[in-house]
Amino acid sequence: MDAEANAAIREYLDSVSRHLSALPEARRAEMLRDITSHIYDALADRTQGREATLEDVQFVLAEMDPPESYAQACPDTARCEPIRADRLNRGGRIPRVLMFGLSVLGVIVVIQLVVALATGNLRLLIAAVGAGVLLVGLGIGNKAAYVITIVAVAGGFIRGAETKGLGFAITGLVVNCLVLVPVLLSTSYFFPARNAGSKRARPA
Amino acid sequence: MRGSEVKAWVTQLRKGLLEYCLLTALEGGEAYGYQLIHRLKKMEDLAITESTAYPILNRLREDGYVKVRIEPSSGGPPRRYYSLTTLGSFRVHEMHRYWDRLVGSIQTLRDMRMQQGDE
Repeated sequence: MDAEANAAIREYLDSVSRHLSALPEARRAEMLRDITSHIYDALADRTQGREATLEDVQFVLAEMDPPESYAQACPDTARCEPIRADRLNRGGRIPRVLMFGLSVLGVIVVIQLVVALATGNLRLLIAAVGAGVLLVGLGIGNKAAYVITIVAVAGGFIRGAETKGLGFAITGLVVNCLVLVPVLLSTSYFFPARNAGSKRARPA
Repeated sequence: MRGSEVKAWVTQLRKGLLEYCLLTALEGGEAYGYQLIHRLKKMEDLAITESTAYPILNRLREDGYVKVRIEPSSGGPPRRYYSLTTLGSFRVHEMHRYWDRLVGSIQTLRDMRMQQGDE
């Protein structure tokens, strides 16, 4: 393939890359690898063994979507973000600071786990594993995790009121709610995304 | 419904079906991007092109529903073969089941309408 033909391909790919600038770097690179392979396969299909000319390249590129259509193909940032972040923060409405708080809770659970294993404390180990499972459950929007959390918070309030007085129990409840509310907000189960086309049917 | 409204509805419907079409096309076996899109482009009603297919294929790969096998190519960059993972096979199977139920429901609705018309 001559230099002009190569330059035409490079120009098309550069333009596509610019229109994919909203994507994370790794994802953009992956897309460009796909599109590059596509161009060369289309050229091989057209030339059937002979060397590709500039005209062949121009024909193939004209048959393909214009570079700007890649920006339209991914206009919704939530869809373009890595899927893991999307799952943990559906709708992208939870502030970064709260997500940071949740991450800190995760780290505390891991530390608990390490301490439990190091000291051989079985009760702490069970508590740490339970808390970890619950955090993951809440993060991915598992219904059972919501029920367990709400029951645990309510149970803690009642038990706190019985043993250490109402003031202590209310303080505990407020602290628990400070943790619980952002966790619940991190899923679309209770609070469907505002940009959703229609209201999501809630399970009975 | 005016023509433009039908067109907008068709566009929305196609968007929702793209993922299903790509997964279904991969059920027949692995395929490289060009091959897959070339196959789907022949079905004009689906209106699948590179700029719609590759973002979805990438998302499906990140999600673990499809995987990519890279094979060196003599005439250009390595070819990227897409295929379904086990998770992807389960997903497309579930999608088929839902699609069949959906088509059945719509048909029932249409039959009911025709019966009402006869009365």
